[in-house]
Amino acid sequence: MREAEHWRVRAAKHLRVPFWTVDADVVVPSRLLGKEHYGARTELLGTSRLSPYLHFGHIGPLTIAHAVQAASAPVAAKQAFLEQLIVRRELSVNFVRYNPDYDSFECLEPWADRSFARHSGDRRSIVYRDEQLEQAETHDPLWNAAQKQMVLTGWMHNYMRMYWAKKILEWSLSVAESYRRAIWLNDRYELDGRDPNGYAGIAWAIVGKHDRPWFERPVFGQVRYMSLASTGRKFDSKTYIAQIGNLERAHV
Amino acid sequence: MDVAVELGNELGKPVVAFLAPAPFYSHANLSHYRFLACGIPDIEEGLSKRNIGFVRGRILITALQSFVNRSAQRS
Repeated sequence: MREAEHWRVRAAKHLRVPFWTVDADVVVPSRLLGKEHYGARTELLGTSRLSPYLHFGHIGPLTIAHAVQAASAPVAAKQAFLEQLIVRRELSVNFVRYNPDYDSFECLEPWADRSFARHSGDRRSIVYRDEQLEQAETHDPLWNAAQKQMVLTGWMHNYMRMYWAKKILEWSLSVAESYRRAIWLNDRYELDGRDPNGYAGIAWAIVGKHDRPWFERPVFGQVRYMSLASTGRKFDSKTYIAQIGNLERAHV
Repeated sequence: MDVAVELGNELGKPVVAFLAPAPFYSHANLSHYRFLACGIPDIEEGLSKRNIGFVRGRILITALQSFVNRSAQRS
């Protein structure tokens, strides 16, 4: 079997939804999920997982967009997919193109800067070293599961990426330090690392880029907070942790 | 690529695509290179459908130079 065929089959397996091939070259999910399931889907394989293929140019966004438009799926599901593929993706590319500080905390907005200045002296109740984060040795089972998924598979569930980065801010001595560590881990372990989407995602999570100020709280200032409890309400953390546990056992 | 094909047709010259990985790319590791490499046969197949040559080099700068030198000698 040619290697190309092999990766196509592998991509199809990752999708775990019926798929069809377009021009015998492209794998696209044929059954797009509704918005309420699409983004915050709990399962390991709840999203398209096309980001590494997009990152390396194995597939172009236009090809995917055409396939999505031609798919027999609810209009709302298609719109949700296209919003991520076009609006969000272009916003990230734009961010990296025009902001020279895209991979540093200094890309932050004035409101976040002022807010962090008020909280730089806040006491951090837990601080982890680089190795503890890398080895997924925190007290938080959901965070550890996300970190393991990234290290073992080269991909982390999109919903977990937000939670993952925000917790690094919570567990670091400074904003700058948390930013450096999130970029380091993301670029090293994600197959779609070193991509504008990763930089924009981390900027959103840690310094509130493309977001608005929220309520004042320790360490985070006015940057939006995500707690384990609130994440558990929107995301089936229990199932996710169990799935990553299975994945980990399969790798041992 | 479309522009290259149009130019090639106008000048009556063959079009060749050249690809070589940049070694030691910042923050890239073996798993990234592996993933990238898995897509190369698709590029080759797509190009051959359009009658475009495909040359793979090992290291970007040196391989590109020697390829250009060899091509220049031949023509």
